[in-house]
Amino acid sequence: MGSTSTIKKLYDFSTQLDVPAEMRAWRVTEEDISRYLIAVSGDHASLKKVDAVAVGDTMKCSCVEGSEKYRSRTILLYPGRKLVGALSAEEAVVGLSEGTEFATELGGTLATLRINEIWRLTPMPVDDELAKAEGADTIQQLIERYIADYQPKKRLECQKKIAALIMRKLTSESEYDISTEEEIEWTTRRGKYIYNMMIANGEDPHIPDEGFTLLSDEEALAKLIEKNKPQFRRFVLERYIASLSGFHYTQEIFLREVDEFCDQHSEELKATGKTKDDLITDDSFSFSEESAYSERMRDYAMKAAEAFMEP
Amino acid sequence: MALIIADDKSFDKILGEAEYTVVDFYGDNCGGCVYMEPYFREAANDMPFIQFVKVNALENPVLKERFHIQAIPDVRYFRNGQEVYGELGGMNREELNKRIAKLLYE
Repeated sequence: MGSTSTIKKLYDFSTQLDVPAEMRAWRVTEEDISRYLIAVSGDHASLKKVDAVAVGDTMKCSCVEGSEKYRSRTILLYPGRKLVGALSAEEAVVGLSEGTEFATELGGTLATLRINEIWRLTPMPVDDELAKAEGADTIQQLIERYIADYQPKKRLECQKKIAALIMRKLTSESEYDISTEEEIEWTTRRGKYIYNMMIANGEDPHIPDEGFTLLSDEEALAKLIEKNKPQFRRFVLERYIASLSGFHYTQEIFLREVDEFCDQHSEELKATGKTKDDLITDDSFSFSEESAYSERMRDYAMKAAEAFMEP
Repeated sequence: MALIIADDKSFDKILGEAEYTVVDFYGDNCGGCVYMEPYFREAANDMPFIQFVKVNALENPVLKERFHIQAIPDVRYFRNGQEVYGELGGMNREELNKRIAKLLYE
């Protein structure tokens, strides 16, 4: 076995990473609460018929003259929403009454529409009646329930975004000690795997990035190998991060995972006619190895992200 | 008007109840789904007579298979129960409005 690539100097995110204030924030804000109450109020809006159209209303129209495709449809118009293809119609209809016919442009063609019904939405007032409609006793209780439900999710999203930033910076700013031999072996194996997968999926790996001359088999493979060099660096970093906690992926771990997979998916394997031996290949070991290191990198970054989140 | 939650059992009945339906196939731990959720809800509350339906693709394997859902969010547009077109990826309100306009007026 040749020499192993490693990290010469790991990017020190604890002192060098700059996380913007808006990225650190995870607590539910007054704006979040206001948006939530507007949405809930809209969920319970009442719909009533009115006599004349105003912006914000909804019209059910029929096409009395115009394109055949509109003759069989209910034409819905939403004045004020500025829907593409109905801008003229949305403007033309304001102030008109039920039963009115009017000529307008619709979907790029001329049409004569008849207003059959005009409907107005009225959001439910934000008060304790709205709270009761949502299963709470008061608006304050509804808000507290919302915060209890949403804040952990918002916190997790914040943590994930900072973790992703940490991983990006670690990948791009760390210094690597790359073994050319290992890099060639890794990127060639991966490049061949992707080449064969593309063929199997009906994709053509010979299509060039520029121009129209198809690549040869060797050129297509070389292109895929080159494209995988950044992936190799990421792999080296992830392996290094895993090693900081003493983890090293081995053949023993891999075989144990294969056994577990076979136990959990025995019916599936039977149906496809595959056996355990079919799963034990160099490619499947490599992908399992990558997956194990990726998982540890994510855990590392998620834990590190905590330090950057608002207290 | 509130979003409609559909599953393998209720989907076809719901689809048959309106001329226009927009279906959001979503899943858990999906950033695009989380991004789009408030805009989808806002459109549902602002545009009556279009059904805005959510289906958790991961929990409804029959629908996932039927509509060949391979990535999420995957938004499909129906007129009289027939799929008119679909598109992958989270959208804000403006982008959603463009697709709704296509459903209504193309």
